[in-house]
Amino acid sequence: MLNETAPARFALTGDLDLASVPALVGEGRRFRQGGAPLITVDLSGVGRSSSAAVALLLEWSSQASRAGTRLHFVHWPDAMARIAALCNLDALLGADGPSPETPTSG
Amino acid sequence: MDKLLIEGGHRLEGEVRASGAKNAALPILAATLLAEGETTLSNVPHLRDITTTMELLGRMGVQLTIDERMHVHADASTVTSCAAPYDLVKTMRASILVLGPLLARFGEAEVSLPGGCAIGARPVNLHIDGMRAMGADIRVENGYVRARADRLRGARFVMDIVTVTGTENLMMAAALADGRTVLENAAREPEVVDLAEFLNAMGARITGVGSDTVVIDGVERLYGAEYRILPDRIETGTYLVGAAMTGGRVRVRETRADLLDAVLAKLSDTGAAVSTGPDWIELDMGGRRPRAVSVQTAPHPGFPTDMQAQFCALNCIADGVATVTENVFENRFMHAQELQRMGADIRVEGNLAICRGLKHLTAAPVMATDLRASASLVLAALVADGETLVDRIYHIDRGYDHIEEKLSALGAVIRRVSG
Repeated sequence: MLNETAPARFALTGDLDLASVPALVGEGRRFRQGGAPLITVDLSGVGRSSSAAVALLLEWSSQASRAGTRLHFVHWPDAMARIAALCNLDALLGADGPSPETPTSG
Repeated sequence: MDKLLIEGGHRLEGEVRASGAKNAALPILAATLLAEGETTLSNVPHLRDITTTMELLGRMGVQLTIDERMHVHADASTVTSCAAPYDLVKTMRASILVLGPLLARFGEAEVSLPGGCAIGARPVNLHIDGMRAMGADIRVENGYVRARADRLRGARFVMDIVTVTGTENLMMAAALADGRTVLENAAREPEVVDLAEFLNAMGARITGVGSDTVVIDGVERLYGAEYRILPDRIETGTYLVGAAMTGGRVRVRETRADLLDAVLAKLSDTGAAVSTGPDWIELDMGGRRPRAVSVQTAPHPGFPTDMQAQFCALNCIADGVATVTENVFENRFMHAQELQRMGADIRVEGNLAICRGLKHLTAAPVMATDLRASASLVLAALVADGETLVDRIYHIDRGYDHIEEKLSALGAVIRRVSG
């Protein structure tokens, strides 16, 4: 599920697999509606995921780019970041380093 | 283009995990085309050829996903195309492995003739002749193999040379054929056995694998299965050779000693202490210089051609003189000239390389020319004086999963540089 939590800020939640991802592809249109140049998408609420999730983020990034907007994915779950790395998409999707919004532990 | 920068002189010490075998994973991925239902594969290595194969299958319509455990799920019920185009096949000759499954399951296939590795003639005519013997109508035109068959028929087929991919392709084709197929002079490699075990897990009836006569009783359909790819024996052997060359001690875990009998015997001959357990192999060189060992490549269970270049590198720094004889492929000593650039005393005469071991090699810019040749250059760089720059490492990325991370974990000073 994709929820707008603040202006130019969304949260993606739930399991992301072949069953759930197709319905989310069209949700990418919501990134184009506000006209913000940079939109943050929080992934901390993502449950189980597969490479379908990475494909979804890639498709959303492409849709946003065509509309002149850039997506910034933050709080990657470890497993999802590993899949992005396996697909050699970690750098492209911003999963290859600590997010500026990564909360500190402790 | 990425390069590897390696500082020599650091002993390899510690443990490393063997990845899944590329040469098993590629045919097994192709074999998922045969299944009705979802197949789940684990221990699939992270390599460029695997990614290429997944892209190839994806373009055909196979639904592929990777889950959080890095297992690959494949469902071929959605296949819409039986074509393997040139732009993918040219980068990887193993693409020919989709020919048998496509023909057997869907009755047609259009596969570009392969490109890929530049290590001598490895013709696909035996694949084609075997499928023709099973009743397929096959034409080779405009660089493509175009094949059709209503249903393949079982046949007896004698391969005049031992071919691993040929055996695999025909085994997959025969799995859904009508009647019994007997493949004579079949390849006996562990990766062929792994494919047969996977096919049997899907419901195939294959016996005799591991011998030179494989019998396949065709079935009406095959089903999805869960399967773990066997460990990579060549990667395992390469890290053990690295330990021997650097005088170190390395344990490779999640591997199988029974896949490496000929290699382990030769490594023992170098003076190394080799010990094995149920899923590990350890080599301890105890800080000594290895003794030179002569090897002759041969089809399995002989000494594998894919370990020849690594033993050339070992012999270049070993105590004594040894010969390495290549009996499997032509034109497979391209690493010799690059090793000479590092000061090695290695001379090639036909299919023979004569190595006189030196105490030291010196760092130099070198160029990888094929997958195993590049592994030999990395190994030589580990013991050379100074920093060696290995260029064209896309070859090594085709066969070694995370090589710089694994070598770094063992104490090597190695990093990937761009440009």
